[in-house]
Amino acid sequence: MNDNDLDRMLMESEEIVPSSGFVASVMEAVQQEAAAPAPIPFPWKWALPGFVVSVAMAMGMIARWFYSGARASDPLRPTATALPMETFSSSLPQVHVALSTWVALEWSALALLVSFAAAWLSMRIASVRE
Amino acid sequence: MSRMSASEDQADVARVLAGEIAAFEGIVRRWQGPLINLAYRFCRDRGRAEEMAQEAFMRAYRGLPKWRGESAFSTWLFALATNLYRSELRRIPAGAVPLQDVAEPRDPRAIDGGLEDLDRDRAVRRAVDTLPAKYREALICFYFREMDVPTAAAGLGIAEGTLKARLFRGRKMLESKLASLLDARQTHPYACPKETA
Repeated sequence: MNDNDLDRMLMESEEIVPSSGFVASVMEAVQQEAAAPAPIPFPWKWALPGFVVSVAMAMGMIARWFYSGARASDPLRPTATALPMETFSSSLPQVHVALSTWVALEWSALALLVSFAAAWLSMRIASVRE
Repeated sequence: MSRMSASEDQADVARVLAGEIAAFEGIVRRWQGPLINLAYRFCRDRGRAEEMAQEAFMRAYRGLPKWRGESAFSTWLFALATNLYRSELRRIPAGAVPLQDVAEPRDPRAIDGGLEDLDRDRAVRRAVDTLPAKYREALICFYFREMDVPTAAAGLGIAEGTLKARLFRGRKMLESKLASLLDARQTHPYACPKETA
């Protein structure tokens, strides 16, 4: 066996004849595809304000986090040790609870607002499509 | 590909894009044989070859607006199909048949005479199936396109030099796998020692 034999064997591969229903099968699939409604394009017009608001909120939260970190490390800021010991020890649990409650409420309100906005936007888009 | 079928392809594509979906049938009728046979060379399974060819036609239908007519329709169609078949083959790798199962000559003393042509062809095909994907694909496309390097390279989306290098190395591997069947290799016209891309 030489190179020519190898070329011949590789080139003369077994040929197969398409089955009789092949064309019909392809055309049926094509017709189905053509009859299917066009995919709904992503509603950038409606989504963009939401994206902008989300990004702004995220940036605001990051800025706030940095700001609170900077305030905590400020040497001129009065610290808890500067307060009278009795006042500090008695007010600490109340402050902690109040702070936790406020933060939880803030996040809950934000989550509710975002959920309502998302639901309203979806319904609005759906009604516009109809 | 004849000039006639090129113009027919162009006319059918224009009709499909104008909304006459039935015109796509002409394209399917003209190219079903080549596309199914190319798929068969990749997977060696008739049923799967038809499924792969059908998917290639569907992708061609969806992608018709993207065909700008810069290359021949057949070149675009084959590139699309080859790309699909390659990814299908990589998803379900070939080489499931170990080389030990490749048919051996019945009488090792008479290699050329003792091995039936059918066994020998089957041995070569199975050896091709055990090659790494990029060499196997290069060999399949090159021989399917009747040893036309530019057309095969265009179908694979690689440079001609890269294809030549892969063919050279693929054949080397094939020969070492089929050492018991092949005589000493002679210099081949498309030998290329270095892969360019």
